[in-house]
This record gives sequence, structure tokens and C-alpha cells, in this order.
Amino acid sequence: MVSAPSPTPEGSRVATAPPSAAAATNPNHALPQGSSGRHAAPQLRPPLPVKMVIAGGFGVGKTTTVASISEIEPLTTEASITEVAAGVDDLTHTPHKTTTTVAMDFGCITLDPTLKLYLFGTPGQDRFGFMWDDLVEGALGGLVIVDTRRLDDCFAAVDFFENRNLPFAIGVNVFDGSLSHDLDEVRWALDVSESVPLVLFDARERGSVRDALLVVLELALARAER
Amino acid sequence: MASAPPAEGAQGSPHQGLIRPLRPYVMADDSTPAPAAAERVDPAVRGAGARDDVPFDPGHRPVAEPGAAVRPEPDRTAAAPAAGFDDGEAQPAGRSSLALRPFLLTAGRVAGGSAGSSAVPPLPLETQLVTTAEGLAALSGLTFERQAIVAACRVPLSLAELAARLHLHLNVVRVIAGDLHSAHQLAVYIPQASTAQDVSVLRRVIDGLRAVPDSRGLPRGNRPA
Repeated sequence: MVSAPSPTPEGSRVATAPPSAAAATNPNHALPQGSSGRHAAPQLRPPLPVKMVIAGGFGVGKTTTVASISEIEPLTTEASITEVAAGVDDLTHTPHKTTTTVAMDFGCITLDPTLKLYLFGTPGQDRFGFMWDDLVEGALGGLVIVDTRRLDDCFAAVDFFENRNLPFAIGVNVFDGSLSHDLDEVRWALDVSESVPLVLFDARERGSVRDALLVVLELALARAER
Repeated sequence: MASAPPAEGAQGSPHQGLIRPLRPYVMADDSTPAPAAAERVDPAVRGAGARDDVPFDPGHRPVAEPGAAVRPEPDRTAAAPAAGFDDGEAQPAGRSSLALRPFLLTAGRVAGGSAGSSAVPPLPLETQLVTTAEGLAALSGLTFERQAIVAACRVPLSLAELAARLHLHLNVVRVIAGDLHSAHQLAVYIPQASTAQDVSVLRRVIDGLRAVPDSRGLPRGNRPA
């Protein structure tokens, strides 16, 4: 456990730095395993946070995926599409969807008392792409959800993960048990390499989401062991 | 405002709403409102300010007041001060503070992300925040957002979770958390990016996730198929 250090040495250092710099500079080198504190009460040692990114096009099931496995009600910043994006987003294939995520939504799973997995859903529209760097920094991996009726919606996410060299898998969300293309066709259409796993899953099923995430993690592990 | 020309009030000029100080205390770190700011506020806002003694309620206040100020009703100046405030209270809960000018809360400062990217990276979203003993001791003397953050982080919270729960802009929380950290009232645990390539961490995550039961309560591997 971390003993609470006297505030004096830290205080003198912080006082000379701008506030945001003070917050961000010290723990980067101060925290082995991301979890040793500066002046925390020892009994409040937080878990090691890890995260994965759930990406994909608009209305493809990202929020559903997070909700299926999160232990908390997914926290999200949503605005009604009628206010924010009516006429901008394509609702042709998702006629019943009335809201879309304009910031990000996320959930978490406490894997054990010292380890907590966060799942962040990317913003649904291209114009919120500036959030993505925030989301993928330090992420274990990503799951790109595709709807086979609108394959091109996920190209941005695939490109982004490939460029960032983030381990990722493609999850084909099986809406209503219907799949309009077989997996080989999907792979061909997406033009992703054989090394990118392609999995069928149901965003509403916790076990199915869990298994899709495990595919991503196994890939990340294989890469880390290399 | 009493001295405002009646014509302007009748038109409900949007500028009037935008430049009106939303909250007298936002620029001040202490709880004493600046006298000049207090003189400038109109009756509607003063009505809100009079509730400064009310304990902070994150679900209520930040949504209500500024929302009312940003979207002035055309007949706002004619309405009674209390009516203006009630209008704000009646806002739907979905109208979050993201629709406002969130960086009023930080006096215009932004986190070290976009502008000063060369200097320090912004706090990652999963950064864990925990209130310190000093923060707890200072709790009653803190003003609204700071008090809410210090109160909420009595249990460890991630930056993203904190922003979502308090309906605050993520980057506003980044700045205020940095301030609170400088004041030793908040401990900030920043995860290392290299954790993502740590084999032992990945194994722990995989093992932990495998144990998560599916909808039928079965962990992975015990499934019928």
C-alpha cells in the first residue's frame, strides 16, 4: 500500500507548474502499473483501469453492445437526433432509432477488485472523429461492429484502427438473426487482411459480446507475446 | 435589466442571452461573488444566485439555470424573476450542460490537449480520481463543481464516469480535476499506455472476462454449444 506522502515536496513542485500540467506530468512516470498514488488515502486505492473501444457506423449497435455486458447502466451523452442531427444522419435503415450518441457512451466491468475494464463506444458520426484519439490512447484493442446492410459505415473505424496499429476484430452484428452476406463476402468487401478476425455476434447477448471481446483480447495477447 | 431599452427586451435579442453572466461565481475560485458581477446580473439570474445556500444538486442546477440563460424567452424581461428560474427548472433532463458554454466553469482554460499538445497529454478517459483526506476536509468550503467532484470521488471514479454523472463537459472536468489535484484535494491515477501491451495484464483481463457469465448465467466454456 502507498503511504500518504507529506504534501510539501509535491506542493512545491505543483505550485510552479500550470494546473493542468501538474495533473498530467507526475503520474506518467510516477505510477508503475498505473496504480500508485500521490496523496491518496491507502484504503482507497483504485483498480487498474484498462479499456477497449467499440467502434462502427451510426446505429450499428455500439450502445447495445456496451449495455449488454456493462455492470453499470451505460453512461452516455445523448441528444435527440431531432434536435441535433435531423437530416444529417441517414435513418433509412434504422427507422426506429430516435437518438444517436453525440459524445460517447461507456460501461465498465470489474474483473477483480484490482482490475476494471472500461468499454468506450465511439461517437456515431464522422464529425465527432476528433474524440477518437482520446478513446484509443492506451486501449487494449477494438471491436468494429458492422451491419452487413451498410458495410461502408465501418470503413472509417477499420482505417483508423489499422493506422494506429491497434489490435481489432470485426464483429458482424446479427440483427434479428438475419445475415445478408456470408462472412467471406464480408471480408472481401471490407478488404481486411486474414489476420483480422471476423466474428458473428449478437449485440443483445452478454455471452456473445463477451466472446467477441475475447477474440480481440486473444489477438492483443498474441501480439504482445511476439 | 432595468435600464435596458424596452425595444431590445421585446425583441429578445440573442446576444442579450449570450453575454449575460450565467453565474456570478464561475470566474471566482472562492465563494465570494465579485461585487461588479453581482451588479450586472438581472433579476432572473439574481433569483438563481439567491439559492447559493442550497446544497449542490448535480442533477438540477447546472442543467436548469444556464439553459434558461442561453435560450432567452422573448417575453423574458416582462416575466417575474421567479418565472424565469422556473422556466429553467422545467427543462427536460436531456438538455445537458454540453449545450452551453462549458468552459465558463474553468474561466476559459482548457486541458493540455489540443492547444498545448506538445506540453502535456490530456488525462486519459479511464484515469482514476480519488478524493484525498485534504479534499474531504475542504469539502464544505468548495464551490459547486469542485464540491461535486470531490464528493463524488470518495469512491474511485474514472474521469469519463465523473463527467457523465455530473453532466459536465469532459474537458472541463479535466481542468478542474487538475486544479483539485494541485490543491492536494484529489489524487489522480493516470494509467500508463504501455499497460496495453503488458502480457500479464492481458492475461488477467482475459481470465476475468471469461468468468463473466452470459445471459443464462454460464461462464465461457460451459455453454451447451
